[in-house]
Amino acid sequence: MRIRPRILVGSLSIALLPMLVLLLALQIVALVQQNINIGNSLQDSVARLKDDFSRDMDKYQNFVYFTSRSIKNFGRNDLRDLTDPAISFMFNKLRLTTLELTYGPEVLSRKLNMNNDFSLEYILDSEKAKFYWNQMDDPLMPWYATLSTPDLVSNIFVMRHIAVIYNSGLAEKVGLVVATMPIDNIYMTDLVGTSQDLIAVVNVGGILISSSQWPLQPEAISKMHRAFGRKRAGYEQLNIPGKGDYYFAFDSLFREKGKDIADIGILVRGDEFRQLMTTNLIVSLILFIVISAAATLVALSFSNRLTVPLLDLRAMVLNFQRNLEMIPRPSRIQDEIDELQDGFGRMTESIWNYQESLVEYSQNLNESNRKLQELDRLKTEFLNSVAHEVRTPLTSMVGFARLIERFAQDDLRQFLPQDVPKVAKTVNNIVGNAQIIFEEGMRLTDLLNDFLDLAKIESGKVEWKMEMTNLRTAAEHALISVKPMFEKKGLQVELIAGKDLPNIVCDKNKIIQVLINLLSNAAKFTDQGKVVCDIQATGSELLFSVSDTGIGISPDNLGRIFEKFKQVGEIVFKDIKGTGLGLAICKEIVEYHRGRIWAESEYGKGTTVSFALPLAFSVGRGEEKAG
Amino acid sequence: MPKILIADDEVNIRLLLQMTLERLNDAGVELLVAENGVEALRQIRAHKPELVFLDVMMPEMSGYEVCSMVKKTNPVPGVAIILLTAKGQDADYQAGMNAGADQYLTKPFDPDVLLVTAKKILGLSD
Repeated sequence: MRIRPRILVGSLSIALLPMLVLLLALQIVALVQQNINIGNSLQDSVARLKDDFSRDMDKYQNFVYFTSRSIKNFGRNDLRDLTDPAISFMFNKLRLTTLELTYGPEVLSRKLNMNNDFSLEYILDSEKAKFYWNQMDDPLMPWYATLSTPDLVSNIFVMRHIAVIYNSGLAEKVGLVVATMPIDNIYMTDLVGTSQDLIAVVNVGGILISSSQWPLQPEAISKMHRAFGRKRAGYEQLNIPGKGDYYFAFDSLFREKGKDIADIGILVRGDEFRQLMTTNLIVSLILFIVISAAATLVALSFSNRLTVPLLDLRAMVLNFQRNLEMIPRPSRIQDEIDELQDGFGRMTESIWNYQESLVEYSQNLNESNRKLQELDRLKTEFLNSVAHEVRTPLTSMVGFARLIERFAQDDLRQFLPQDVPKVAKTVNNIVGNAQIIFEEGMRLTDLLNDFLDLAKIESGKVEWKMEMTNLRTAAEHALISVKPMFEKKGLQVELIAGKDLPNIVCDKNKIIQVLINLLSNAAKFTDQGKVVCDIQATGSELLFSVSDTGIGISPDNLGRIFEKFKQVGEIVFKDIKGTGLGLAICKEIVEYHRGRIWAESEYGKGTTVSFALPLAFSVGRGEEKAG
Repeated sequence: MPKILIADDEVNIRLLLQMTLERLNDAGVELLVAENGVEALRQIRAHKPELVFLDVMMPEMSGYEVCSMVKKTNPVPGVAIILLTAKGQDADYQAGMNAGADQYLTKPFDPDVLLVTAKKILGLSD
């Protein structure tokens, strides 16, 4: 079944459950209450009997017919033509017995109040056997006009209805019709039916006038009578000697003008009654439990039909989470949960497949990574090897060249006769050649150093030591380094830097390297004049400028001087030596510090190479500028 | 008699240094030679030279280690050490200074500069 109908049925059954339970609970409560108040239940029975009595009374009436002139028996047929609707009614409804003369020992005058405003007066003269009547206003009278005295009648309780008989012209009253109803055992039998209970009617005189069952002992009757006659309905527990304990409920059966005429009571055996109640209660309880259990089972079953598959699915998902176990696709798809499972199943399948691919890719990546790391390591080793292995022979070469020069310069000149022209020339040649070897060796060294530097910077292998630096001090350091070079050429070098230059964070040695490089270049390309190193602080930068009065750079070449192996002058002036890597390295260093480097020149007049470093520089390439 | 120790594993470099510093013989300077770190250390302890030219990359024991021993661990007083190296990084310079070296020269060096430095340290005139 699909989910929605399933949920609906489940919910309905769950909703009905409390209703059922409530109903049963109420029933149990009622029964319990009844058990507690047996008397009330009896009283209800009494009330029911009262109602039955009122309803069925009309069945049990007899007739007496009187006229004013003579006492005569009238049979049913005589009454047939009478026009009084009440009489007709009586005739049609009631059983008729002919002539029952009743006499009473006294004259009774009574005014009877009926419903509405009608009243009837009559006089009963028993001695003369005469009945007199007063004027009657309305022949129609209600049914329950009664007369009952214990003396007039025997011990039978009688109800009477009196109607006036008119002649055909409705001019003359010709007689009375009295309908009577004795309460006797026929009534009681009908009333009680097959009930096992005793139902008794006792009249105001305390005389049992009727009882449904076995006759009661006088003690029982007197006990009952004591209960009777009270203003209100009620019940009692009675112990009838020889019979046991009884519950007894009573009520007034008929009152006349506030006076109790007859009472009716129900007598039931106590133990029987209690047993019955208890049985009822137990049965109800059992029913309650059974129905509750059944309803619960039904509700559970329906909810399980929903939750169990869901929980299973959840377990499968958790299992996948923990152990990566694939979720199986259901063999048949019957509802939405099966669809879900199918979907999940396909997802986990895909995940598995992707995972396998990923594992493969990752293995490949690991392999590539290893190889790259290996290559990197080899590269570093290579650079280190080159550095060491090349420098060593260079050291010999350069060193011995210098020694040859020394030997020739100092010793040969000393020991050989210098006045012989060939000797002097040879010695000079030796000295000159040795010098060339030395210089070229140093140039080779510079080239090697620059090459290694650049390689290291480009592969990020350089260790940058960033620290707070005083740039004036750094510049002074650089100047000291290049001083020999300037002195040799007879050039002047000057530093312009205020004493209050802000310190910045940079790699001190690298910046010194840059300054040395720029100053060296300036010296190289200038034959006479002055080189100025100027450091200024602008709002956000520290500006360095190295200016010379040298040959300058043409506009075409100006932008290209920072490229590797590019050097102006190599074309025109072949004797200017340089590696061509210096400016490229300076560019790398300056740009690592997030600065910029550029050159301005006027060909033939001079050159100024400048670089700027930001004042607020945060350590490390690639990070955002602070401040 | 002031003594100078030359320690380098390369024969040519040893020869170069010897020939450069031979000029000081006239001033009474004696030259000692070692081929590796262990030998260098032994000679320093034995003869206590006033000046040592120590190559950094040597077998048995590196120049850093020898320097460290002589300057820090078991100090031999009155010995000036100049480290010679083919490396030129700041880290190497720092390592040298940490080992207690007095000076640090990168190869290739100018023999004239070496000679002037030696004279200065030994307090000899030009």
